[in-house]
Amino acid sequence: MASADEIVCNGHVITLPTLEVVKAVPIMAAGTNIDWLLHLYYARRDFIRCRLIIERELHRSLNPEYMYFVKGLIDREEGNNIEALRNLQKALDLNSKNIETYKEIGKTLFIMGRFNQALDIFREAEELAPRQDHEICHFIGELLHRSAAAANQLTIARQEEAEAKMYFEKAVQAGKKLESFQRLAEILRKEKDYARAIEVLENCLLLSPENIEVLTEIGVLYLKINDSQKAFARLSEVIALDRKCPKGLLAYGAILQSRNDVDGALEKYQEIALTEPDIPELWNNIGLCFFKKKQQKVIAAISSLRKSIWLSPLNYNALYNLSLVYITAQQYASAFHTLAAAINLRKDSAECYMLLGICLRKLEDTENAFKAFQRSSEIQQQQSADAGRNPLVHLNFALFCYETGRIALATEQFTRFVSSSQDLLLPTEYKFQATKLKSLLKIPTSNILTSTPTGAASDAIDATDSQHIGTGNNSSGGDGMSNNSVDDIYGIYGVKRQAAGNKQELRNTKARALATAALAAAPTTSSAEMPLEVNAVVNA
Amino acid sequence: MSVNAKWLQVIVDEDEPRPRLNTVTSCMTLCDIKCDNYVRLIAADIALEDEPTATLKIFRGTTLHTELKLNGIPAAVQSFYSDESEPKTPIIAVAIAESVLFFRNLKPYFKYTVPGLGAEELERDLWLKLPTVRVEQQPALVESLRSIERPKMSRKSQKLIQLSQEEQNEFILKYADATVMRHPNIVALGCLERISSDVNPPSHLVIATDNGDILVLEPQSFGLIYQAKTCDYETVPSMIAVHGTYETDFRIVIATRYGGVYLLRKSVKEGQEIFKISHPFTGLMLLPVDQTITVCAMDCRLVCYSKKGKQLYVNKLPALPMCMIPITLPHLGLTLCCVALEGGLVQLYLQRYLVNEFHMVSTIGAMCFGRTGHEDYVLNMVSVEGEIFVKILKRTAAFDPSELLALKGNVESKAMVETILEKSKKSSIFVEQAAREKQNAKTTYGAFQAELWRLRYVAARATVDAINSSESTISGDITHAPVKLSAEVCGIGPEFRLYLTIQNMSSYKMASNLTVLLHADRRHYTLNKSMAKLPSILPGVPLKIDFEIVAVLDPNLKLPPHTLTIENSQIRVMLLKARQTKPLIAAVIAMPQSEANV
Repeated sequence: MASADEIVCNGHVITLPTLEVVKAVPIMAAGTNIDWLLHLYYARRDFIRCRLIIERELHRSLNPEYMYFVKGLIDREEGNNIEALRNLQKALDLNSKNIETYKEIGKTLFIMGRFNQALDIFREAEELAPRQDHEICHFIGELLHRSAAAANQLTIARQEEAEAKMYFEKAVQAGKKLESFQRLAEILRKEKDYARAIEVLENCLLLSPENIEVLTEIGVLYLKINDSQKAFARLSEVIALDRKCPKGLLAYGAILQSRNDVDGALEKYQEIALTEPDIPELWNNIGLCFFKKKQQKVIAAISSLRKSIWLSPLNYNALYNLSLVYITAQQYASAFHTLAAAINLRKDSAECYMLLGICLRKLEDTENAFKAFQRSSEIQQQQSADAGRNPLVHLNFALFCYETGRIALATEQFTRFVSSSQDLLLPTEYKFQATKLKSLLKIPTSNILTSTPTGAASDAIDATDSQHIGTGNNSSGGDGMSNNSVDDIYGIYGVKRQAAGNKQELRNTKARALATAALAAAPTTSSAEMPLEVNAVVNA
Repeated sequence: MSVNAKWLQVIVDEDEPRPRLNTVTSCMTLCDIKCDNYVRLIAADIALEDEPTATLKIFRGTTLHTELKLNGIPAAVQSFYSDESEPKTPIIAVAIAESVLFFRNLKPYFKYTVPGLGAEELERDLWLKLPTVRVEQQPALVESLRSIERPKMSRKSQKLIQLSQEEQNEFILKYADATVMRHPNIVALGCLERISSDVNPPSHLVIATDNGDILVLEPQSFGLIYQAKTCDYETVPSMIAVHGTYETDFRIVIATRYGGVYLLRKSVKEGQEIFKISHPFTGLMLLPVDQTITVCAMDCRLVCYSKKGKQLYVNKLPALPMCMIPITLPHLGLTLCCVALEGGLVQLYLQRYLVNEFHMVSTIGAMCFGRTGHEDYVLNMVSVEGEIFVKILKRTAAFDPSELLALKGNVESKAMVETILEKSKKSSIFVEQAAREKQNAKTTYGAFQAELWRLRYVAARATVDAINSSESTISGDITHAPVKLSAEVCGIGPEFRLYLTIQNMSSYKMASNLTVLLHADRRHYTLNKSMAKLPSILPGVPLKIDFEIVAVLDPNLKLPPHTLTIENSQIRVMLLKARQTKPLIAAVIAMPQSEANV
């Protein structure tokens, strides 16, 4: 304060203002400040104007952070990822704390397939984020999930998978975004925690009701836990919302089909066939519908199943079903080829080998038939621990053994059949054949089959015995089928479901588990219940 | 069409010069600026062609009435009444950078500047030091400024960092005394009525700045009566929607550039996040009736959320939305949501139902609805190219969702008529074959099995033959290095040149003592040299040798002898190893037909 004069006034020292004019303090002009307009044009995808603004303003703007940001995004939209990264990096240099820029860099790296780098970027962003950001959590989860799938070591993969799950849970809490819910449900589904997966999706539904994808998914999950009533309710909602949702319609049709409402199911399938005719599972189901009709339409069934196989030649379910229909139609040579194809696809199916055995028996190739039956019995025994039991395999083998004079083996197989059919509700068809065989083999009465009138059976043995061998090919499988009342089908329902569950497991390993699940749920259900008819055929 | 009978198109004289206007929805407003009961359209025209400049344009009908030059690009324009004194004079507020310009009777009368924000400690210290230190030390200090995030710096620091070192000193001296302060830029404006009274109630101005502050300004004393933050950290708003009255209660919904939507109430000073989407917004609305928030974004969806963030419904838009405005029809008690889409389609939604749509000749980029001229319900639209369109809603128009639905439903049900499942056709051959198979299943199967065995047998024999005769291009003898032979015939005849490439396929063994022997029918081909001893061949270094082959032609007819057929026009090549009777490779080269000698 050298220039100012100081005087004493009223006992205080005060400075007198100088005569010099107060120096005007220059104010920095704001510049054009056009970021908001840039944002608006970007949101409208008016990239030409965006570029125009950026080009002109980039070098004179006081804070070009957002311009670099938008430039990067536009570059990315136009497919120039490298340039996008460069521009986003420039934006980041100007403001190293903007998590949005981090996110966009991460997303760009994600698009480019540089997943490890993307993960690092998202992790950095997570540390910087002032609060839990759902998008960051979602992407970290996604990336971990991906790297878990690619990891070589099981422990690392497990660890990453668990972490991915944790991040998805965080994302769900932070952002309530649909995608995160769906991914979380997907992981839970893979872990077979269906109840929680449903819970997650139901929560998701609270946020965005009437979402067809989510509804369908819930429906399919309910099917998995055998709650077909709830599944049915959900899927009806889907269909009410969108009459043309093929996935929903297909699952809905499958439920109807499993409830023996063949015409209702066919009606639904018709609608799908109108919009999307090239779904192999659809034709598989249609084929089974025809097969199941009161007046069996074998030819229609065959042509539908063949269409399904034509659409997807490696579809195991369709091949299995087609061979079954062929056997019913007594086209054993064709059935043999279809079965051979099916077995080439999956070598671990006891039912498939059993059918092959039946088929070869009919073709009078006893040697190979025996081998096939033996294999089916072996597989059945190996799997019986974890998978569903199918006593039919043993029953058929026992019948064949008896026929070819291998009495000892027949007795052994029969006891296996008895032990494996314990605590299962068997259809009368099974019981009938079993009782007949038992009396032929002269096995003392066991407590399992007490429900059948054993006394009457022992009288009828000889009569039925001659019929059993004599009638040969004439009594058609169709007869046996029409005899099956609704009760019978529900009777072995438990068995069917177990088998279906097992098949589902294998399917889950597929990458597109999500898409196929709805479709797959249907064919497996229907295919698994087919051995019922087989029994009729083999005993005919 | 009955649907479009709701709107009257205002026809403009083609000969008249049509004013052009480049604007956005936030920069359009309607105002009875002259207090003559004639409402005029006011819009900021943003020229981007050369130097970005803006003018405030006042229209009378569709003709340009007045122009005011602005010293910056306005982010928003609003018109409102500040007091109840008669005659009520509307005020126009134009937000440019950090200040709001107030116009009354088309004359600027006040400039309000948003309060500056304190700068970071580090930055303030630096500016105290900068003018005092020596010039050589300045760059180091300037460099240390870079550690501060750019948006949190004062403008002069931002500028200083961009300057070259030579200019820095001068700049520092010039701006040394200027206060170190951040000036937030205004990004959006809104109007908040003070009380809900009759028409044209006095209002407050809501200001959103780019650091996330939401301010309510009292336009008479120009004091801030409400201050809040969008959320607990700094984020940039892009759009705001206001509902309620200041005296009782109000709500402000803020959409940010990065996809978040926040809700502010009168009682709170910090917004709460309602939802977040991953796409930037192009329109935001707060519906007055049920207080739902409708947004349209870059992902071509019109989504409605409740205030708790629950997604109520989603409408898929047929094209990219450009802008969205609410259309309030008090006589019907409705608020419609009007969305302009890319390509010129304009759609009106009543909640989730599409109630009306019409096509314009070009994409609409900005809209404004309200009393214009002497008409009550007028939709003013400006296309992206700059043309102005005006449509008037008929007083009799009613919006019934069933109307358009029925129209669309008809089309749909037509598609659903009588569908019979397309089954694949069964030909008689198919049925016959099925029947035949049924009868002769065993023979069919037997024939197949026999054929299968035959095929296997043939295949096995062919394999054995090939191994025995060494007739392949790769030597099969595993005791020596595997050798590959390839051949190429050049020329059109009668002179040919045969190039042989011999390659050692082993990775470490040497192939030595090899000889190539050519054999041909001497009636057909003449070979000058039919044998060549080969040097040792190293792995990975192919050896190429060539032989001359002359096709024998009848001297008179200039044709090859009649004994030469396509089957026997061939040359055998044998690769021999010394002291071994069996050739390593015996290949046959098919020769092309020879041309006559010219």
